[in-house]
Amino acid sequence: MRPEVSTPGRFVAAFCLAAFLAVIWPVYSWFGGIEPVVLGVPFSLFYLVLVIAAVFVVMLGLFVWEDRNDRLG
Amino acid sequence: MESWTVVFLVTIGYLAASLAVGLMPGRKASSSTEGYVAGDRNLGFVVLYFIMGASIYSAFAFLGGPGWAYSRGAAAFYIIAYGTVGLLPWYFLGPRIARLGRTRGYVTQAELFADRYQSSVISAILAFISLVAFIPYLILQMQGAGYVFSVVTEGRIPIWGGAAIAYGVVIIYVFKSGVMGVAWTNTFQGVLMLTLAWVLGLYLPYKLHGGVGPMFDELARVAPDMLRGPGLDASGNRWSWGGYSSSVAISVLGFSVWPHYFMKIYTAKDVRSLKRMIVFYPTFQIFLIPIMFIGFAGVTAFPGVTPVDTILPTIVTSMGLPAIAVGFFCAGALAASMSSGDAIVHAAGSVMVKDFYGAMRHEKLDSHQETRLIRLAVVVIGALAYYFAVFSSYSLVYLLLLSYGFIAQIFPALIAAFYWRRSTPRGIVAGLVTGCVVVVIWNLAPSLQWQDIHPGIWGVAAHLLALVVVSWLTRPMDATHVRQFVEA
Repeated sequence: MRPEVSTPGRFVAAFCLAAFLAVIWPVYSWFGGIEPVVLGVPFSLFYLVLVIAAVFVVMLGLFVWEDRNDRLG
Repeated sequence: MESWTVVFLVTIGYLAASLAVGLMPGRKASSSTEGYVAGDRNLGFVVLYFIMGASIYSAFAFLGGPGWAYSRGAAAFYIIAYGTVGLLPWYFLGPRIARLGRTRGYVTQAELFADRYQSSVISAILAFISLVAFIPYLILQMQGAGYVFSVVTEGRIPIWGGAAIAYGVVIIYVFKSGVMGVAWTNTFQGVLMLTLAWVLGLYLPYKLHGGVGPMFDELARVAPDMLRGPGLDASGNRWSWGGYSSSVAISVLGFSVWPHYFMKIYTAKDVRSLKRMIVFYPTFQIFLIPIMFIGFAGVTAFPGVTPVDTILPTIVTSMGLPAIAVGFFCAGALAASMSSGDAIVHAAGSVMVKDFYGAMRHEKLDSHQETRLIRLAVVVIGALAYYFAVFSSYSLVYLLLLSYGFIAQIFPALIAAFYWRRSTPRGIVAGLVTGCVVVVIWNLAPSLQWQDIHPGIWGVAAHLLALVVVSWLTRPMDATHVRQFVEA
């Protein structure tokens, strides 16, 4: 049988691709300016912190879901 | 006591601690190849997290990262960008690779491909690609270590001496304890680096500019282009988005298939520890942010430092810090170099014996003989890299450019191995060879450049084409054999 990929797993795989696209052109060129300065750092850097946070939260969510439903593999 | 003596003593203390952690009794795995290379497949979450984090934050991150931020501004953010997404393919493929490794007995990356495609030629090609990519990186780490020693002792310890002391320690613990030595020292070195990065990354902007916010305010006034993506190129003009994006892309492709990281999949105790490490991995990226602050802090305070990679040691040694603080800096920088160098030398030895030598001969070695040979290879590779690091004036820049382009070629092959039943051994060989040849050609002929796109990207495109065409033209593999992998 084929290795089964759960529906949340598929969404997260698509999210991973989106996260990659978010840190290159053209998306990053829209968010790579200096303003607004947040917590003292230019937005070009703060934006990347947001991406890191989003990746972490989404991956953690999938991990916890898989763990609870015995789907870690 | 003279200040350089204090610095030297702190550094020696760190080296002694690394050696002790690396040799610690009870941390050893069995003396079989599985024990020496894959830690008996018994590593838990915390050690996996640090072994991956610390091997990636090399001398490049610690010295090169601030150097990039100092000279090229936001261009340096590409390191954060690729590290954030680079390991994500593992979440989906890692458990399958680990399972196959456990049931079919792999400890290296090429063993997986050799088994999937029933081809020792593929094994030899992958070993070649890995070694070509490893050696310049190892040389660079050694030079970094030697350089740090020489700067903080004000030249009393020459570069050859510093590199010999630091890498003597590395070779001893890798020789003796194999991957367990790498794992436990990387945990120790990782904690040291993280602490140091945050302390320096917050202290230096505060001391030089009155804080991180005022520092960026000043930069926004005097050099706004540094803070806007994609930053500056090596000559100080604005970098192109093509150059920035393709650097991120090629690094993302290469990240999950660098053989010394890939092999760590086999060391995981279970799927849970492996997946948990991948989930928490992006948090290690946060460590790169203070590293960037250090480089930005130098822009207006220390203009004109060359080579730019020396900005961090230059700031640290010229601020009149207490000797003990400089000593800790030196220890942290050595930790960055050694925690990458140890993983590379260990992987290079394993690849050379298992994949290169193994592909050349038919009868199998017994596991203990094999471990002995890998130990020997570790020493030989270490000595060879040391020779080039210290005595050769041959420039590494060209080899380093090639290495990421080469390594990225493994990624399409990995995807084909797990998702494309119709891929054939000849297709894989054609793809790998074509991809690498294109990378070399594009590096040799800059006139082929378009929009600053990284040569590796063209290599991957040519690889895909060759892989598909040749696979279709050759006989499909036995379906029962293929199913064991595609449905693993």
